[in-house]
Amino acid sequence: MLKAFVVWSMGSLGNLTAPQLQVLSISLLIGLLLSVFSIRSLNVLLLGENYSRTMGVNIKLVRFIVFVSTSILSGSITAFCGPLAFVGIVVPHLARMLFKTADHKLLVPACFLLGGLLMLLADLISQFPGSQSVLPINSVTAILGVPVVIWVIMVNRRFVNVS
Amino acid sequence: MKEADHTILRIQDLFVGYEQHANPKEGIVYGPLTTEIHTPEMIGIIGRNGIGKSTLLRTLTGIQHAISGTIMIRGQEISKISRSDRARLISYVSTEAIHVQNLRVMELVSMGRFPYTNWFGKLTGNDHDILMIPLSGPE
Repeated sequence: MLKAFVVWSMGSLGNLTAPQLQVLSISLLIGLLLSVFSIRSLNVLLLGENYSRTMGVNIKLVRFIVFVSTSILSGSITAFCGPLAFVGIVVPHLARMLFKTADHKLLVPACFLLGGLLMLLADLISQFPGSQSVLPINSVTAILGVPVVIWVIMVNRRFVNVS
Repeated sequence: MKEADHTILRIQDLFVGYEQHANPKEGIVYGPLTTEIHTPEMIGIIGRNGIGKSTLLRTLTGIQHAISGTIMIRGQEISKISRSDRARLISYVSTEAIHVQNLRVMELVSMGRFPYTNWFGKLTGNDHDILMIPLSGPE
């Protein structure tokens, strides 16, 4: 039991049985669908609450949908793959940086794909070919993620100083 | 009184301000206001700082609730109009600055069509024509 917990806490993309995969894929599908449905409202929410309200956005409902979608996605992934640090915070910023857009129609699918890509890359590094041992995937995501977090903090600080 | 058709906005005994549950009278910024606005008119609201011009506009657009009184838009009580219908009836541009990175002018302006688009926010040919009106500038 303790061993299972330690293995889970290090994070791993493997070791899932077929029934587990079923539960995971269904909850992922629900979470992703909910986030696709909130794209249009998220775009207008960029303008702030007041403008969104005058344009007929039901802010409470949109917030609720986003919260539910986030909870389902992060909850199911954490349950099956362990606590994967930094991916959730890094990928949206990475998508904004790469695609230079604020349009969620592009950002949301970009996050799906970039997130998957980043995790596969981290998994590849953690099981480094030619080496017997396997690194915890969390350490790899941290190495990839921390520079982006620092970069985002630096950019935001500059933005505040200018304005 | 003019014909009912031309009355676009009817305000009666309106008190605007910020509701305070302990003492509702204390939060009043401006009121009472009773007036009517008819279709071809263009109205300017003048007053010194803090007298409640913006609060009045915020109340008329439905961003905040009125403390008391009624607002009728085209003969309908404002609180009874659905969110999306109200968004089509009223457009509001405030002095609030918008700072969003990587947001293009076209994307910002096209957000004004939000109440008219489908669930995915797809702009149709008609929307593009309407968007070009403010973007092309005065003739």
